[in-house]
Amino acid sequence: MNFAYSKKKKIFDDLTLTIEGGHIYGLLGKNGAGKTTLLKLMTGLLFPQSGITTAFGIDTKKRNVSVLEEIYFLPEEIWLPDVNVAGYLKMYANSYPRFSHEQFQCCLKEFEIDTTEKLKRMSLGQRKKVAISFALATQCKILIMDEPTNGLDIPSKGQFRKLSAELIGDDRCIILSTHQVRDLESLIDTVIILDDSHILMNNTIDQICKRIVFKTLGSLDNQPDVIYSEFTPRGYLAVTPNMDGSDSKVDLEILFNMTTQNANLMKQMFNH
Amino acid sequence: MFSIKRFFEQFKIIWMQNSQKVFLNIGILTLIIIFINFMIFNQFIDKFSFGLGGVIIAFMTYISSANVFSSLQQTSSGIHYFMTPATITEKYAAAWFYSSFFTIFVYSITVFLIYIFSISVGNLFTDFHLSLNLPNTELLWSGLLGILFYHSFFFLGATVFKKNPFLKTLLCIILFLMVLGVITKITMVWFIGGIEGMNSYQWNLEINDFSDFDKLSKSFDLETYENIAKMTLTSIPVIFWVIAYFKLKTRQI
Repeated sequence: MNFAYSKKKKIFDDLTLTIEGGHIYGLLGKNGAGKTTLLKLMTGLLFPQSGITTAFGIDTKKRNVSVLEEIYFLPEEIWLPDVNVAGYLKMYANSYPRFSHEQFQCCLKEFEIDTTEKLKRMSLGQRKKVAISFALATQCKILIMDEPTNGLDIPSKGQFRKLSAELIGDDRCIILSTHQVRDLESLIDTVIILDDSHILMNNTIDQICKRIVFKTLGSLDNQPDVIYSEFTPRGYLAVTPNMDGSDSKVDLEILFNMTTQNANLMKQMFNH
Repeated sequence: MFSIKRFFEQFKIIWMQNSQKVFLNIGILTLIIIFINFMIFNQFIDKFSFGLGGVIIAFMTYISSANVFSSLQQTSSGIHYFMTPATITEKYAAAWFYSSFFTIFVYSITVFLIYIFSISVGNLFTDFHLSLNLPNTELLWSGLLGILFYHSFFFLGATVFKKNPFLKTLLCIILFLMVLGVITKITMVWFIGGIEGMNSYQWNLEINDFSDFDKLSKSFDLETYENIAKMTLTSIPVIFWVIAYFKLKTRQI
C-alpha cells in the first residue's frame, strides 16, 4: 500500500507487511518514520491512498465489527472518560465478546491500582496501567500498543512484560511500537524496522541470531569481521557475521542503528 | 447488520460521558428559570408563557448536537471512539438519537417540572392563582420540527469542525441565513419588477406595501412557491444528516 499525508512526501511507498499470530512484534523506527501511521493504517483509522490493509481477510477501512472485536489499539496518549474503573468497565467491557473481568482484576492487582479513584484524577502512569489492563482483558487476537512503557515506573515495566508474555498464544499477536527498546528487549520475538517509507527488516530474533553475533570488544584492531560497532565506556559493542553458529543476545539498539545506517548490507544479509 | 444491542451500548457510552454535564446544565437551568419565573410574579402577569422554555430546549439541543462527536476533537479519544466495536451506522444512530429526541425529551421534562414547581410555589406564597400556558399540539409539533431543522446543521457541524463546532456552526447558520435573505430579496425584486426592476428597482425594498404583494402574487403562483419552500426546508435536514453520516464514515484520525 501507499500512503502520504501530502503530495510532496510519501510516508509509505509500495509497502507490504504481513503480521502473524503467535508473535510479539517490535516495531522500531526513527521519529517521523511512520510507526504510528502504520499502526493507524493497520487498524483502519487511516485509509491508504492505494493498496489495502486487511485483518482476517477483511478491509480494515470498512471498520467492520468482527474486525474491531479482534483488534485493540492502545495509543501512546491515553484517553479515559471521567468515571472510575467500574464505570469504565460498564461503558466498554460489553463491546468485547471475550472480555475477561477476572483477567482485568488480576492485572489491576498486579499493577496495584486503586479502583475506586476516578480515572481522570489518576497519574499518567496509573491511567496507562488501567488502559493496559483493559487492553489485555479484551482478549483481542491483535493487540497493538504504541509506546506502552512510556509513563510506567520501573517495577511496572517488568509487570507489563510479564502480563504480556502470559497473554500470547498461537492465534494472538502483540505489536509494540517503541523507542524504549531496552524496556521491551526481552519481550519482542520479531523485529520490524521502518525507515524512509520502507521496511528495512522483518525478522525473528532467532533469524537475526543465526546471521549476526553481538559482542563486546576491547579494541577493533585485528577485527576484520566487524560490520558495525559503537564505542561505549565498557568497550566496543560490535556486530559480526555469525559464521560458526554461536549464540548471542540481540542488542536491539545496536541492531536498529546498524540497520538504519547500513540498509543495503542488512537487506543482503537478511534477503530482503 | 445493525444491532440494537450495540446501538444501546453506544448510547450508554454517550450518556455516561455526558451525564455529569447534563445534570450540571439542569441545575443551572433550574436556577435561571426559577429566577425568571419569580420575576414574572412581580409583574402581575396572569399566565406563564412556555416560550422561554422552548428557547431553552432548542438551545440545549443545539449544544448537545454540536458536541455529540466531541471524541473526534482529540486523536486519543478519536482512536478510542473508532476502535470501539460497533458499526458506523450504530455509532451514528446512537449519536443522532441522543442529540435529538433524547435531549429534547430530557430538557422538556426538566423545563416543564421547573414551571410546575415555580407556579405551585408562587401560588402558595402569593395571592396570585397563575396557570401554565402550555402550547397547543400544532405549536409543539412545529416547534419540534424547527428544533430538528437546526439540529441537522449542528449535527453536521459536529462532524465537520474539529474545534468549537457550536460557534462555527452558528456562524455558518448566520451566513446561510444572510445568503438566503439576499437570494429571497433578489427573487422578490425579480418577480415584482422583472429584468427592468432588477436594473432599476430600489434595493432598499421593504415588503410592507400591499401593491408589491399583489404584483408578487400575480407574477407567481404563491402556492407553488410555498410548496417549493416546504420541500426545501424538509430536504435540508435530511441532506445534512446524510452528509454527516458520510463525514463520520470517511473520517480519519
